[in-house]
Amino acid sequence: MGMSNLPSKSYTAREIAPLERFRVDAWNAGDGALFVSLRPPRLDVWSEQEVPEVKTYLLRAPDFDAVPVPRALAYGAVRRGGQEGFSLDGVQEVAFDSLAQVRELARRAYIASAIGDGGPEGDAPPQEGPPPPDSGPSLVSADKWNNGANRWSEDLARAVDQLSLETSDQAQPFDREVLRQALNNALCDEVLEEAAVLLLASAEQTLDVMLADYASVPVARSLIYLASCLVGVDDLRNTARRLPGYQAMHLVHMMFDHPWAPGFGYGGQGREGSDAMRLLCNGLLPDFHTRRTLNLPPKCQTWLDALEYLSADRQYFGLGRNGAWLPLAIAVACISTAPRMPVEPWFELGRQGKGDHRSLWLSRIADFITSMIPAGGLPLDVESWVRDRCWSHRRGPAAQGIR
Amino acid sequence: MVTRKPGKAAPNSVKKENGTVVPRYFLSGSWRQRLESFIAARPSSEGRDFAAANASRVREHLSLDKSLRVVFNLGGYALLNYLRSGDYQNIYEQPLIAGEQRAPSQTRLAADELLSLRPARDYYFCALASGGTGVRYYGEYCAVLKPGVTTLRVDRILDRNSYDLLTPPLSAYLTEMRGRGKPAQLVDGLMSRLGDGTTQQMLAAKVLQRTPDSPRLLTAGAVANAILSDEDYCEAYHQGKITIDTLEEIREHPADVSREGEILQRLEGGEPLRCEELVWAWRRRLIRNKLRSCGLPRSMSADSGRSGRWA
Repeated sequence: MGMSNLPSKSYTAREIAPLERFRVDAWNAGDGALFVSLRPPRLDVWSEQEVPEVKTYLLRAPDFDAVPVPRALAYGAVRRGGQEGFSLDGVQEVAFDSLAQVRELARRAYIASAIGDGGPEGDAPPQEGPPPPDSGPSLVSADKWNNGANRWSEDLARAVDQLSLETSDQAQPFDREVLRQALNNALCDEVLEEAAVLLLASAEQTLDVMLADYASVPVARSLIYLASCLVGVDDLRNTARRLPGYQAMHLVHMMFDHPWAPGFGYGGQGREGSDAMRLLCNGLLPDFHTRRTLNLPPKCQTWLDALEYLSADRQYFGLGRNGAWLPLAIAVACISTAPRMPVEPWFELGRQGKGDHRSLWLSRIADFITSMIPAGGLPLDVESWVRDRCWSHRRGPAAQGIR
Repeated sequence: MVTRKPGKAAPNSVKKENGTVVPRYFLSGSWRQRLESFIAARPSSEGRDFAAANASRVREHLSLDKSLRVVFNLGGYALLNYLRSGDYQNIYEQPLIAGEQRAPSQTRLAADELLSLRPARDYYFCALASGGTGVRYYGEYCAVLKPGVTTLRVDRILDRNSYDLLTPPLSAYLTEMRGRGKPAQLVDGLMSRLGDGTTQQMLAAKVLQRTPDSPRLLTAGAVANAILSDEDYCEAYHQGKITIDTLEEIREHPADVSREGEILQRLEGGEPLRCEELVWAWRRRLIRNKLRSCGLPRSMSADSGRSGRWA
């Protein structure tokens, strides 16, 4: 099929020149397997096979490195559950300038596909029914966090504004070093306390929902321990008083009464996976109304879901005038980066102990958040498509990726 | 591969007026004939002896009651959905592209027509393997069908990826055969049937083509590598839905198991990980749990699949 078979719809200059750009041949977004070729646009992905010099690459999770492969594999992948090509309107193929762009798309679509996948211990998708009603109490008020980025730090507000810089057709990459410095300055006691509240609320939610599950107790304890690392042991009781419930408060008291009891701290043993993995996957996010205040998609249930959402949806940070993202990101980073450690440093990490342990850890949290925020560089319509994918209620029987 | 100078009485190709040449290899309708011709064409007596012995070895080793299996590969997401729903779908069942309903491309429809898959939506593409983890480019998990089911649901085998039919030189041969009104002759000639022993002839020819004049007997591992290596494989067509109870086991490659362990080790040490690494490792854990609850065995297998289990 020649170029004369292209759709009559006129192409913009950016799409025509040069004709050969990176275009998706086959893709299973959920599996993170994308075949892309450097070729002209076609109505039929597999036409013009007589051109032998088409360069095809496979990008695959978890690394998404571009590996040169024969195009025959892309063709076979479609017959095995992948999709043919990638188009936003069903007609015109989306074109990319570089493999880096393709990699970013494949990576973020892969992450977005995992949001809400599994729930605690992951066997069945949790809470498939309709979402709770719109009104209801929330642990945190929207007002408290409105314009929060401004309140936390002027530098941070500027850095976050940078994330929403857009040219006419493309989300701009941002300066990660500027953001990292701003985050380092913004990690003040007030912000850390907000993150600690989220962790404590998560402990309570985990105990509430999974009361019958013995595994929820060590998870809740570990979350409370991490909260104590953020605000310090002395202030943990005061922070816990902000919770409307009682379970986390009860655990806090237990920790003070028996601080050396087995199971406290971060080092609970699991048969599979590391502790951080268990916390991310088994620790439930605070209640629905709090999640809504945090602007999270309803299908976000666990901390891993939150991490996936923050890592996939760049526009979430572009809405940075809502400062809710910062405590949420700190809590996610806190769980993801805290090393397994002996119980002793527990007291050093708190607000009262401004030693090396704490400053190093906070620095690591800032690094994690900085690296977590998606880079720019995708076309804006593709960026919006990824966002839609984060929020969509996908769940189906198919072995395919994108729907 | 050593090629013999074609004799005058028996040209090994047919040249047409338009200049396209269809080699006799592709016009022969029988794998037994191809195999015998190949062995007879060895230039030395020891070459012929060893080729015949190796062909016999391959035929004996590659049977469904021994190590030959029909497999298909899936990624973690696809496997998890499959285990949850029991529904493995092909492009004809879910032709949705980024939310837009879209039929399979014309080229694909034409290629499936060439393969005589009627109706194409009822067929699921698999591969033949003897040990190993299948075509890992299509996914890190290799699902293995039970031999009993295989004989009932898998009939035809193509000796290569059907994509080859769309590219030169086979596409040129097909054009010429269409001109002669016999496009199916070429494709049918490259097919074998699983139940009547022709697949073993086909596999023997494929293995010998890789080591045509070796004065050595082939090992089981070498045979396994010859029938499925990298992206070179034989395509098997499964008719009807592949249900979970027809699976014998799920194979994983040691490299993936090792990668998962490395990710968890870094996580445990507090080293920041990329989210996609966490998702990948977490899915693998979910799959292990699900396989356990389904009672589906999993095994680790390296490229040639040579271990005590497959010896």
